[in-house]
Amino acid sequence: MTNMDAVHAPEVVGNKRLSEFLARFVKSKSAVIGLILLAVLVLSAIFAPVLAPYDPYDSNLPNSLQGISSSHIMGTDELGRDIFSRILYGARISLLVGVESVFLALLCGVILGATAGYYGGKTDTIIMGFMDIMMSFPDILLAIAFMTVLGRGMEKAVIAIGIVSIPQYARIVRGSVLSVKENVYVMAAKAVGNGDRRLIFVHILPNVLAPIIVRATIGVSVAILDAAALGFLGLGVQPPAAEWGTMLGSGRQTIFNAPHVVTFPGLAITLTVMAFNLLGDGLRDVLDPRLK
Amino acid sequence: MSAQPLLTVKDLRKHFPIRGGLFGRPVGSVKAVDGVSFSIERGETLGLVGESGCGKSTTGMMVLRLLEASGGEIWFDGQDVTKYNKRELRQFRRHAQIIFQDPYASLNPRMAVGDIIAEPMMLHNLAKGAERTKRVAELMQMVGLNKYYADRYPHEFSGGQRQRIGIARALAVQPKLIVCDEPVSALDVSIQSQILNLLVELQEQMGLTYLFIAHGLNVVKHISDRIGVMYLGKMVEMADGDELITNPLHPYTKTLLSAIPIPKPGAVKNRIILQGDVPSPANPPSGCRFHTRCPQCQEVCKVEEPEFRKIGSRFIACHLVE
Repeated sequence: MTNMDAVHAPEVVGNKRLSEFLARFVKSKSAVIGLILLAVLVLSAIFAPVLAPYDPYDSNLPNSLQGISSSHIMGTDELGRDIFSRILYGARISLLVGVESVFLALLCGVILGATAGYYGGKTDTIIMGFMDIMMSFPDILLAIAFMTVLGRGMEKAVIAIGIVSIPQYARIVRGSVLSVKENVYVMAAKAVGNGDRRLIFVHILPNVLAPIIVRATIGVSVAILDAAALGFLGLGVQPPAAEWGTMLGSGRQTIFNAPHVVTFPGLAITLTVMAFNLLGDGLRDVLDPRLK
Repeated sequence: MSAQPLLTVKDLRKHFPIRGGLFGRPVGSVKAVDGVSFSIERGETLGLVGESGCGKSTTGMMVLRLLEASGGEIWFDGQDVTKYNKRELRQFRRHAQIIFQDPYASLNPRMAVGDIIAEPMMLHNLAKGAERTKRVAELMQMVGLNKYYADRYPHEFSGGQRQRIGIARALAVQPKLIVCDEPVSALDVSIQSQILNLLVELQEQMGLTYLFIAHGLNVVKHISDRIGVMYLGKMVEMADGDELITNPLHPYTKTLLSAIPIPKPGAVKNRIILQGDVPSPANPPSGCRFHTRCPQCQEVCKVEEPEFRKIGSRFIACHLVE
């Protein structure tokens, strides 16, 4: 008997799912590459003050629009600021905007989608009808409309991008809830006396987590792009703040005689978006049990 | 008080609307259950048999209000279940439980087995902390599972083990009534008898009352005190188990009985094979619902619906039985 006890020690069993997940994660090339890229980005954002050779806001007009050199590895912009330093600081803003707006959209989207999917009928028609109206506008147009109401600034951009992307999450969650709620174990949970809220949050939502996580990861890259677009249009993060989209926007005037001013912020955006997309794609493969 | 049956069902109906047209207006209805009545005494097992789609599972779900009845009454312990509000319904869930057919689908894949069994106790404030853990271990041992498996997830168990988990979950609230919705039909034959024996043992220990749903008489006859036979949403015959098996009167019951395999090579079987398919419950036949396939069909059967009436100690709905 004592032998049995040792074999079935709970700790061994509890970690099994995690180690299984890790083993599958490591096998997915795109997930690993995405994660490494992302780690580099996050670290450079955190340690920007240490890594940056110059103050990102320190303008030095005589030094403006210099090309790539050993003292400025990515050159300087129209005010003579070091682009490499600005890109490092920009990572902070872009990642923050991306993650925050996705978090906002996810929170609202999950609640709306789960409510619509679970209750169905009129509730579903009203919520999803509203979501469809929002989806019928191009994202960026709707975000601009919100920005004109909310005003400029980073927090406003987060709110505008967050609200605009709610329908995408609501749709995915609703669809998944619709299929999961038909499972017998949901009926079984109802039979033992679970109320609606516990049924949704304890029995249904954990089983629709995989598609939500995947969508949210890719959603961060979309949000970063949107934030950059808003910055480019002068609506999002305001200069002199170092934001990649804003940097692109202000570098636009000098694109022909100093192309490096737009090239590097553009590359930074591309790299970040790619990192999130790779991670999202990889997670899709890792989390989908049918591909086991 | 104890003289009255634990459960009495009167004229229970479930009509699913068929929606059609542009605006989804109901254009007809599927009469899945169409006027079923029975009662179960305390400590008794009522078997409910019939082929797929005859409404037996729907009946079980309605008894527990997992599906809302379209009509009829359900009396449990002297109260009408159909009139319960949300709070009373939660109370009712403490006293009436269900074991599902498919043990692979009826357990939440993201919950550890111990949590699945503990959840009903948590919801009804029956035991807390260490006491709850102890109860979970007791329940697992009671249904023949190793109590050290409480931290494992459902996918680590076999079908028979999973069904035991489902049984432990149903027992957690110490219910009076358990609806067994084909609890063994998804299992191997060798496992079926183990689960059936477990159910019988538990009934003796805890004084449980079962509504036992199955699609074949061979499973039900071992466990049931009385057996009801359903066809196309209606009860056609109900009698004491032994009596129904040895002396079936309704032609449909005879057919079902003849379908039980005889575990003896070379045995001669007089199997009655029905012609055609089960008619659609959206458009049931006139008169007796079984007349389109009945080997003894008479003119009266096509026109007049037979009453479900008492003859001797049994109930039957057939014009041919006097």
